[in-house]
Amino acid sequence: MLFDKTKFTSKTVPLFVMVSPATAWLVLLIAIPLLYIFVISFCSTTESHNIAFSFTLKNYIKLFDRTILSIYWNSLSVSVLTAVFCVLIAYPFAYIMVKTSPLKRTLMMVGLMLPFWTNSLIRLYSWRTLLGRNGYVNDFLIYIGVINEPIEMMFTRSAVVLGMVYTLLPFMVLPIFAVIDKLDKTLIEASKDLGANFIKTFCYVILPLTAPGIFAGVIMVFIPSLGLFFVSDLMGGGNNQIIGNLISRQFKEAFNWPFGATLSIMLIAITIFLVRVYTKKGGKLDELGAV
Amino acid sequence: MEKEPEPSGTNSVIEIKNVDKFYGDNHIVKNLTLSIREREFLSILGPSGCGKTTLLRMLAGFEHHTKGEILINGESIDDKEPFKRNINTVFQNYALFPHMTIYSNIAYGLKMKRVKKDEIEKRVIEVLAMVRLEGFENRYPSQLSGGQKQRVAIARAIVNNPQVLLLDEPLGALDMKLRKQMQIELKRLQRKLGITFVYVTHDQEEALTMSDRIAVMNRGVLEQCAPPSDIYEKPGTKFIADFIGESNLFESVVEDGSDSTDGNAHLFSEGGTLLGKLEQFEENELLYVCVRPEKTLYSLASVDGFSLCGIVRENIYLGNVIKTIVVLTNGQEVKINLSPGQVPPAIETVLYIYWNVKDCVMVRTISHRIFTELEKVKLNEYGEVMEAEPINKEEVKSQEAP
Repeated sequence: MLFDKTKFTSKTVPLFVMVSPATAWLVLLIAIPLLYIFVISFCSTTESHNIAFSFTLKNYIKLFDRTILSIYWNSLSVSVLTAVFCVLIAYPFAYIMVKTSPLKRTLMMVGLMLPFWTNSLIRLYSWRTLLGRNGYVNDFLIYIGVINEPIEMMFTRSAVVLGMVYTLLPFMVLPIFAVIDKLDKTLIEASKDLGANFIKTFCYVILPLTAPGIFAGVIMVFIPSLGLFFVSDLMGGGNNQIIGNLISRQFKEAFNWPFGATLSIMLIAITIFLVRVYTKKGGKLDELGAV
Repeated sequence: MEKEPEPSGTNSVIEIKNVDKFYGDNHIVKNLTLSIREREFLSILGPSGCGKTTLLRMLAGFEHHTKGEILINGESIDDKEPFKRNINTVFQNYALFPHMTIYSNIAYGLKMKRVKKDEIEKRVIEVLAMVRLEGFENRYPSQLSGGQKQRVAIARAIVNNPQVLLLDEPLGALDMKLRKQMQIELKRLQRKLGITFVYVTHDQEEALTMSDRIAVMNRGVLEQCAPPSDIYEKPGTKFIADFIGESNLFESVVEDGSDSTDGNAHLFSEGGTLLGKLEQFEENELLYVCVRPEKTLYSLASVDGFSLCGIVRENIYLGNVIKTIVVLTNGQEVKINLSPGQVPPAIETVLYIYWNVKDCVMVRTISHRIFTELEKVKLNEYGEVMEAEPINKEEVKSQEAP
C-alpha cells in the first residue's frame, strides 16, 4: 500500500514534469558534488597530485594535527567574536526598526541592504583605505595628535572580525527583526501593567521571547564566518587563517583535494550539529532560510 | 445625558473629567466625564469603534488623553507610567507569557514588587484556588483551554490586589455556555474581593447581568451612565433605546396646540398620531417615543389618541415568546411580543397599535443637545455671533463630529 503514492497515473504526470527540473538541478549541482567530496575525503594523493582512489583514514587523522587544530581554534574564536558583535549591533538596530515609522523602517532596511549590491571584495578593499598604515583613520589620528606613529590596524584578528561583522550583519538583523516584529505587543503591555519597568520587561519578556531570532541569526552568521576565506585574506593578510583559508589552500595551492574534502566534510558536520541544536531548541528551519 | 444617580454613599476611585482623545485627526473620545466608584462593577458598553477600549487603555496608562484630566484617588495620572499605577488589566487576548508556567505568570507581578518568595507562593496558591485552577502551576499557557487561560489572566491580575481591575472584553473569545458561567464567576469574584471592576464589552446582555452601573458609549460620546434597570427602562437617548434590547421607536413631533388636559402629550408621527409622556418640549422638536415590544399592545378598533394602523406580516414563534411583526402604513415595522399562552393575530389582520403612556419613554438624539444650544445663539446679518450665550463651545464642537 505504501507504493500507492508513487504510482504513475495520468494525474501524476504533470506533477512529475513540474518537479523533475528542480530535482535534476539539485541532484546534478548539489547531491553529486557532495557525494564526490565525501568519497574523495577517504582517498589519498599520488606524487603528481592526482587523486588515488584507495580507502584511507589518514586525512581524518591529520585533522588532529597541532597546526590544523590551532587554525580551527583561531577560526572558531573569530566566528564567536563575529556572532557576539553582530548580536550586539543587530539587536538594537532591529528593535529600533520595529518601533519606528514605516518610512524610517524602509530607509533603515535600504541602508542595510544597499551595500550588498556592491561586490564584497571592493567593499573590503575600501576598509584598507580607511584603516591601512597610510589610511584616513591613521592620518586623522596623527593630525589631531593622538598618536605619533601610525597604528597597525589592518592584518590583525580584530580587522578580520571587523570584516566579518561588516559582511554578515544583515544576516543577523533580518531574523531578529522578524522575531521582534512578530512579538505580541500586548505581552509588553501586560508586563508593564504588572509593575515591570522597561529593563525588567526586556529581561523577563522581550529577550526570552526573541531568543529564537537571535539563535537563528547566530547560525546564519557563525557558519558562513567559518568559511569566508577572502575576508581573512583581505583583512588578516594571511596571518589569521580560518577554516575557509585552509580549505581553499588545499584545493588551490597544495593540490591536496582529498584533505580539502575532509576539511569540508568537517565544516558540514559542524553546520549540521548547530542546526540540530537549533531545531532541538524549538527553532524552525523555515526561519533560517525564509528571511 | 450625564445625569447620574446620586452617589450611593461610596467614594469615587477614578474621576474622568472632560477627557478628549485624538488619534491624528480622529476624535476617539469626546469630552467624557465619568466617575467610577469604589467597589462597583462598572461596564462600559458600546458598539465596536465607540472608544471604549481607548478609554480603558487610558486608565491603564497605555494611551495618554489629549485633553482633560484623569484622577485616581484624587491624584492626576498624567505622568504615572502603567507600572506605577495600582491598576491591573485583564487583556482581551489574555496576554499570558507563553514562555512561563502558570505559576510564574501569576507570580510575575509580585516578583516585580519584590514580595518575599514564600509570600508569593502563598498568594499564588490562594488565587489559583479562587479561580479553581489548583494543580495547574507547572503547565504552560499553550496547554490550557480558552476558559482556563482566561482564569489565569484574571488570577494574574487579582493576585496583585489592585484597587481597580480593568477588563477588556475578557470573555469575547469564549463559547456561549462558558461565557455565561464565567460571567457568574466574575461577578462572584468581584463581590468577594471588593475590587472596582471596569468591564469593557459590546455584549449588552453581559453588561446587564453583571454590572452595578453601565456606561453606554457611542462614537466617543458617553450617552448615559446608570444602573442596568434604568438603562433598560429609562433609556436616556435614542441610541440607547435602540441599542439596548429591542424597542419600537416612533419619530414624532408635538401636535400643535395640544391640550394637555388628559396629562398626555399628543404627538404626530408618519404612521399616525400617538400619545407620549408630557415633558418639557421645544417648538417643533423631534422626539422619539420608545416602547418595548412586550409593552406594545394592539386592538382591532382604534384607541383614543392613537391612529397607528398596520397589518400583521408575520408571527414568529421563539419558544418563550411569540413575536408579531406589524407593518404600519408608512412602512415602519413594529414588533409586539406576546407570551406563549396568547393567540397571535392572524397574518394580514388590520389592527391598531397602542400602549399605556406610563410604559413609553421619550428620548432624543444626543445631537439634539447641540441644536438646542445652537438655537440660543443669535446671529447678526453677517452670520456673526451677536450675543454670546454661555455655552460650552468645545462641547458643541465635539458632539458635531460624527
